[in-house]
Amino acid sequence: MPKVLRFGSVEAAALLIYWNLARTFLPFPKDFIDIGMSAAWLPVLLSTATVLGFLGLTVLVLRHYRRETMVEVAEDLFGPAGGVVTGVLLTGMFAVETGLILRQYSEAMLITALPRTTISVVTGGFLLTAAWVAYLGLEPMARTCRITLPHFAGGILLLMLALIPMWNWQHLFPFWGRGLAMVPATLGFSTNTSVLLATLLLPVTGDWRQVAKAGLWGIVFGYLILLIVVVSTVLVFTPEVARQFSLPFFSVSKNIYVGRYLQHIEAIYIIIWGVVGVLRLATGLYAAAEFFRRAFRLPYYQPLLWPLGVLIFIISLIPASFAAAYRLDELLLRADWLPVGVLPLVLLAAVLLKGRRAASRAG
Amino acid sequence: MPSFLSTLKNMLTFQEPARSEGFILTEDPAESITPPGGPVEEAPPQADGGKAFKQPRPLGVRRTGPEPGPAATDTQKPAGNLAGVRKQLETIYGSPADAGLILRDFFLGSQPPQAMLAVYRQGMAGKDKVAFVLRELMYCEGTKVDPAAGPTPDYVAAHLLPGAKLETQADWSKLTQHLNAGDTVLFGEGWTRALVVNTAQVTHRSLADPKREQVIRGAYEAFGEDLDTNLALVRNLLRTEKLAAKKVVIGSLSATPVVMVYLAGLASPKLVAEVWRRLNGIEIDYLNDSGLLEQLIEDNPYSPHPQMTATERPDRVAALLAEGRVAILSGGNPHVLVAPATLYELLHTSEDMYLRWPYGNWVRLIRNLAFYTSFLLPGIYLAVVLFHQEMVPMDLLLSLAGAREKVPFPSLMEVIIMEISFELIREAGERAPGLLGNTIGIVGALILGQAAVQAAIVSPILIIIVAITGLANFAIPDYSMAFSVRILRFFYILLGASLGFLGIALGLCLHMTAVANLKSFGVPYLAPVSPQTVTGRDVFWRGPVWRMERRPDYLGVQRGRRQPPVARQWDPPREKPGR
Amino acid sequence: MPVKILASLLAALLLLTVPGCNGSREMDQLAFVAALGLDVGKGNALEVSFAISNPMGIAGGASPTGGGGPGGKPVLLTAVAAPSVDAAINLINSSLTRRITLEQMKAVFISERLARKGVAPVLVAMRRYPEFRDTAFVFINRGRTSDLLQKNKPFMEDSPAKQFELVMNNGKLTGHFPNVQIKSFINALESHGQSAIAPLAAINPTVNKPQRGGTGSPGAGSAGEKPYLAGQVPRIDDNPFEIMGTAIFRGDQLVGFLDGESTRMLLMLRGEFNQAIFTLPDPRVPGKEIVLRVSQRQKPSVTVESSEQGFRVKEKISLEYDLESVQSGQTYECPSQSGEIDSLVANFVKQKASGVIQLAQRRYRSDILRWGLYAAHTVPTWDEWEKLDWLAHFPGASVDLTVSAAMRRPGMLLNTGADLEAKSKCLSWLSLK
Repeated sequence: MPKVLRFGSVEAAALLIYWNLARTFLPFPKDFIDIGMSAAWLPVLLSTATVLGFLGLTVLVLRHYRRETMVEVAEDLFGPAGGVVTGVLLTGMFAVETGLILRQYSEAMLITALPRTTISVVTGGFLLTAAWVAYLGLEPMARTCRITLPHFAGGILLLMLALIPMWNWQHLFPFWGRGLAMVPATLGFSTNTSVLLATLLLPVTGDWRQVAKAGLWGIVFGYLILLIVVVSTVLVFTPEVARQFSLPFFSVSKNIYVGRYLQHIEAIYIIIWGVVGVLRLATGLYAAAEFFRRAFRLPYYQPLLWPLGVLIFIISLIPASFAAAYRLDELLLRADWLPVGVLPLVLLAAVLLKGRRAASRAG
Repeated sequence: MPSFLSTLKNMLTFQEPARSEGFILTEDPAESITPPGGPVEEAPPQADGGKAFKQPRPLGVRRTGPEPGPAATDTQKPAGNLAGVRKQLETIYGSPADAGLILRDFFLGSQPPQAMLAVYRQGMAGKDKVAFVLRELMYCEGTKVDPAAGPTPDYVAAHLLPGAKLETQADWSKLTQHLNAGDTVLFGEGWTRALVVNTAQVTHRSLADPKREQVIRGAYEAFGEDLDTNLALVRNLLRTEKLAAKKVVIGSLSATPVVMVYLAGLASPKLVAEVWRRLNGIEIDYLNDSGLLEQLIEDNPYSPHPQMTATERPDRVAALLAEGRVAILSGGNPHVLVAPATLYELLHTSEDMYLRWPYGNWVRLIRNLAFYTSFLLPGIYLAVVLFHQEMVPMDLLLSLAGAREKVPFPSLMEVIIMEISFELIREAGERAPGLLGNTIGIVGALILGQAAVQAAIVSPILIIIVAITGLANFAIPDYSMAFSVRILRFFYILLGASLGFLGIALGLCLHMTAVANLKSFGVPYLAPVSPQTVTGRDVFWRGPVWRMERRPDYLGVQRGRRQPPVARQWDPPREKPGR
Repeated sequence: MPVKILASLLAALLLLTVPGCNGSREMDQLAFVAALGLDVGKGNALEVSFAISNPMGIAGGASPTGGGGPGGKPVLLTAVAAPSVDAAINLINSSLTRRITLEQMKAVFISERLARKGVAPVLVAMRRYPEFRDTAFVFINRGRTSDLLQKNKPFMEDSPAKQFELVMNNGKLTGHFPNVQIKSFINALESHGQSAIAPLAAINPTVNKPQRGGTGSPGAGSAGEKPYLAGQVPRIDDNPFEIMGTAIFRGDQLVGFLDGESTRMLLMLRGEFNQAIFTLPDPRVPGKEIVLRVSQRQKPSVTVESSEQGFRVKEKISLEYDLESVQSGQTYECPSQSGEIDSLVANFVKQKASGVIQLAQRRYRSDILRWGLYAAHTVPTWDEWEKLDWLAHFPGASVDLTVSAAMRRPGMLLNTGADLEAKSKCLSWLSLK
C-alpha cells in the first residue's frame, strides 16, 4: 500500500516556487526583454496576472472535489475514458516539458561551466539524480525545496545588491516599452504548468485552500524573482544589449565586481542552478508518473520512473541545438494553453452543467 | 547469500515495500496543544479501508530471560530440602565449582536452628555484604520461632535480615538471573521459596570526566559502566515523581539489563509504546554496548547518518528527557541513547545552553560552519581548481599554479593521498596508547605534511585544506555524526573532481533529499525546519533561556508549555510574553 | 551486500573522474592571459597579442628565501596575422605547451589603427565566447599594441594583471581617464542613445631621458595643467607605459581624442567623476596658485526637452571641493571668503566643459555625454525612440549648462593669513585691533 503523504503549505509553496524558478535561469527572461525592451517589467507583470487567472480557474474546479486531481475530476465527469485521456495528455505534456528543460539545462551547463564535457554525461547525471530524488518521494523533495529556499533567495539578493552600483535607471526609458503590442505577444506564452502541478498536491495537503495558497505563493515568488532578474538585466545593460543574451542570469552575474577580490563569483550560482534544476526535473518526472498512475489507477508510481526517465532522455536529445531546444520550448508554452487553460474551462463547464441538471432534477 | 545479480535486479526493478511506512509519530487529536494553523484535518480513510499506518506485527512469545537450561526449569520451584536444591543447582549450572558458585551451609541462629544454604557467585557478590548477611542470620540468637513450622522466609525477611533489598522468589529462572547478577540466594530446609538479597558488587571504573563531550562551563560528570549508578545520576537531575524507568533484559547469554526512561505524562505515549515495542522485539545472544543496541532498534541502519543521540553526559540526557524524549540506558557501557533525534540535535552540545546567549549563539554558528566545511571543503576546492579557475583571485591563482608546477600528481590524486594519510594518522592516534597518541598526532600531521610539501608531493595549499577539514570534523560534537561526514566527504571529492560545481550541486541535492527522507522513531530528521512546526527556539540558533517556553512540537508531547511566559518574574519590564 | 553496491557505485564515479573523460583542466595546463592586444595585421587580418602571467616567476613556492622578486618576466606572445581572435588563439595554442585561457583577463588593448577602421566586428563577435569577461578594462592605445605590451614593465607589481587593476583604481583619484569596462563599452556601442569612449594608453618615449626644464613649466595665468595626451606626460620613470586622455567613438569607429584635462570635464558631465586636483590662479594675488581637490558627490541633473526647433538640454553640475594649498596665504576658508573660490571653480569648469560639449557636438558629432538616455524620456514607446534617431539630432541640440561649486573642508588650517583685516572679517566677534 503506498505511503500517505502529508506536508504543509510552506513546503508545497517551496516546491512550486522552484518549479517557476527553473526557467529563470534559462533563456526565458530574454523573451520578456525582447517583447518589452526598456519596459521589460510590464510583460512580466502581465504574465503573472494571466497565470494567476489560470490558477483561479483551476481552483474553482477543485473546490467541488475535495481530494482528487484533474484526472479524477475528468473521470467523474466524462467516465473512465475521460480520465485516461486527461491523464495521458497531462503525462505527455509534462514529459515533453521536462525533456526540453533538461536539454536546456544541460546545454546551459556546458556553455558556462563544463565546456569540454560530453552532453550525455551531464544530461545523464541530471536525470539520474532527478530520478533518484523522485523515487524517494514527493515529501522529501518538498522538504529539500523548503530548506534550500532561504539560501538561494539570499544568493539572488546578494547578486542584486552587488550590482546596484551598476544600475542606470535611465535604461528604463522610454517608459512604456513597445506599447500595446506587448499584450498579445505576452499572452501567447503566459502559461505555466505549475497550476497543474498544484493540483497534484491536493491529496497531499488535504485542502483546496492550502493548494490555492501554495499555488499563489509559488507563482508570486517565482515571478517576482523573474522580475528582479529581468529588471536588473535591463538596468545593468541597455535593452539592446540585454535582449541578445542567451543566458541573461548568468551574464548578469558575471558582472559582479566589488573591489578586487569579490569578482568572478558567478560559479557559485552554478550550485543554485544545479539544485533548482534537479528539483524541477525530479518534480516533472514525478508529475508525469503520477498523472499516468492516476489515469490507469495503478497503486505505485515508482515503477513508472524508469521508462519515463528514458523517454525524457530521448526527448531531450531530439532538438538539434540549444537554440532549437529553446524554440521548441517556446512553442510548448504556447501549446500549453490547452491543458492549462482549456481543460479547466471544459471541466468547470461540465461541473456547472451537472450541478444545474442535478438541481433541476431535484427541484 | 543472495547473488550480486539478483541484488542488482532488485535494485533496478521496483520492489513493493514490505511494510507500509513504519512508525510515524502523528499528532493525537486529544493532545492539548493545537498546531499554529488550527487543527489539522485527519486524512479520511483510503478506499481500501487501510489505516494511516499499519498495525505492528504481532510478536512471538518473548523470553525475557536467559536461555533455558536442560529440562524445564522455568517454572520449577526450589526443592523443599537442601539436598534437592544442590541437585537442582548441579543440573542448571553443571558443576557449581566451575560456574564460580560458592555454596555455604550455615545454621540460622534461631531456636531451634534452621539449616540454610547460601549460594552466591564468586567475584560478583561483595564479600563484605555476604558476610554481613551471614552474620546477621547466624548471630540472631534468642529468636523464638514456632518449633513446628520453623522460621518461614517471610519471617526471616521481616524480622531477621536487614539487607537493603530483599525479595522472595519461587521461580528458578528468576533465581538464576539473580545469581548471575551477583545476588545471594538463601535456601532453607523445608522452604519452597528462596530469599534473594542484593549483594552485587562488581568492581567498576569510578566516575570520571566525559571522554569526548567535554565542556568548560558545565558539570564534569559522565556516566559509568554500572546501570544503577547511571540511572541514579539521571534521577538526581530530574527529581520528579514522573520519571519512569521500565526495565527489560536483552540477550540470551548476556542478560543485559536495559532500562527505558521517560517522563510519564509528558512524553508521547505513542513514542514510548514504539520504543518499548522495539526493545522487546530484539532476539540476540550477546548485547554489551549501546552501540549494538542502537543498530538493532534504529529505523534505517544503512543510512550514513545516526538517528539516535548517544551521549555520556547525564545533564544532556536530563535536558532531552525534559523536552519529551525517551532515553535508553543499557548496562556495561557509559553511553546512553536518546530517541528520537533530529539533525539539529546532533549538532548541539550542553554547553550551548549554559553559556550566555551571545556566546552560545556564536559557538553554534562556528559549529554549523564547521559541519558544512568538513564535508564540502575538499570537494569545492577541487571543483574550483579544476573547473572554475576564474573564481580564484589572480595573485592566489598564480602562486597556486606555480606550486603545482613541481607536483607530479593530478589534483584529485593529491587530495585523496592527503585525505587518506590524515585518516591513517587519526586511526593511528586512536590506537597508540596515552602520551604516544598525542605525539603521533603532532608528528604525523606537521612533519608529514611539511615533508610532503618539501618533497613536492603535494602543494602547500592542500595541507591547509586538509587540516581545516580535519579540524572542522573534530568540532562536530556527536561522534557518529562526525563519522558520517567523514565518509560523505569522499563522495563530494569525487563529484567535485568529475563535474565541478554541477557535481557538488547534484550531490547536495541527493544528499539533502535522502536526509529529508530519513525518519528517527517516526519524527522526520529535519524537523522542525521542515516540516515546519512550533519549535523550542533551539534549532540552529538558541533562544534566550527565559524565552524557551515551548517544547518541540514534533515530539507529540502532552504538555507543550514548559515555563510561563515570564520566567524572570523579578524583572517584568524586560520580559515580553512570548508567543 | 550493500557494500558491493556501494563499491560499484564508487567505481562508476571514479571512472568519471579519469581526466580526459570529462572537462577538467589542471592549473598547470593553462596559460592565463592578463591582457589581450588587438591591432591591424598584414592585409585585412588582425594582429593579436597575449600578455601571459608567468607563474614560475611569481610564485614563491616552497622556498621561503629565494624567488621573492619577479624572477620570471611575464610572457608576451603575438600572432601576427589571424582572421579573428579565436583563430589567433588557435594559432598560438599549436605552438604553446599550455592552453590559453581568457578567464583571468584584465585588459583589452585596441590599437588606434584598428579602432579607426571599426571595432565592432572584433569586439562584439568575441562576446559570444563564454570565457570573455565583461569586467575587463578596455584601452585604446597609440602605436603598435604588441610594442606597448612588450615595453610595459611594471616595477611595483609582479603581474601585469594586478597592474591594470590598480591603475584603474588610481584613475578614479585623478580623473585623467575614464574607467571603462567591456560591458560599458559594448552598451555604448549598441545603444541608440550614447556613444562609446575608452581611455587612451601609450608608451612614452621620453621617459628614460633626463628632462631639462622648460617643456613642462605651467603657463602663468592659464589653468595650470597643460593638455596632455597619453605618451606626452613629462616624467622620468622606469615604466614607459602610461594612460591619459579619452578616445572618442562615433558608431564603432574612433574619431578623436580628448586630453587629460578635458577628460575630467567629460567625466563631470557624465556623472562619473570621482575626484581630482585642480590648480587655479589665485583671484587676489596674481602669479600665485590655489590647489583644490574637487569632487562630484551628486550626479548631474539632466533634462532634455523636445520642441519644434529641436532639442534643448539643461544640465546642472554640482561640485564640492576641499582646499589643499593656498600659496599666497590668503584666508579663503571662511564662509564669507570662499564664495570667491566657488565662483572661480564654477566658471573654470563651465568654460572647459562647454569646450568639451562643443567638441563633441561640432567636431566629433558623437554623444559621449549620454544625453540620449535622458532624451528617451521624451518619447513613450520604443518604436518611436528608434524612429527618433537621437544621434542625428545630437549635434543640433541647444545646451544650457550650469555649474555650482561649494567648499567643504579646508584641511588642517583654519585661521591662516597675515592679513588681519581679512581674518577679522572671518571671526567677526573677535576684535583684533
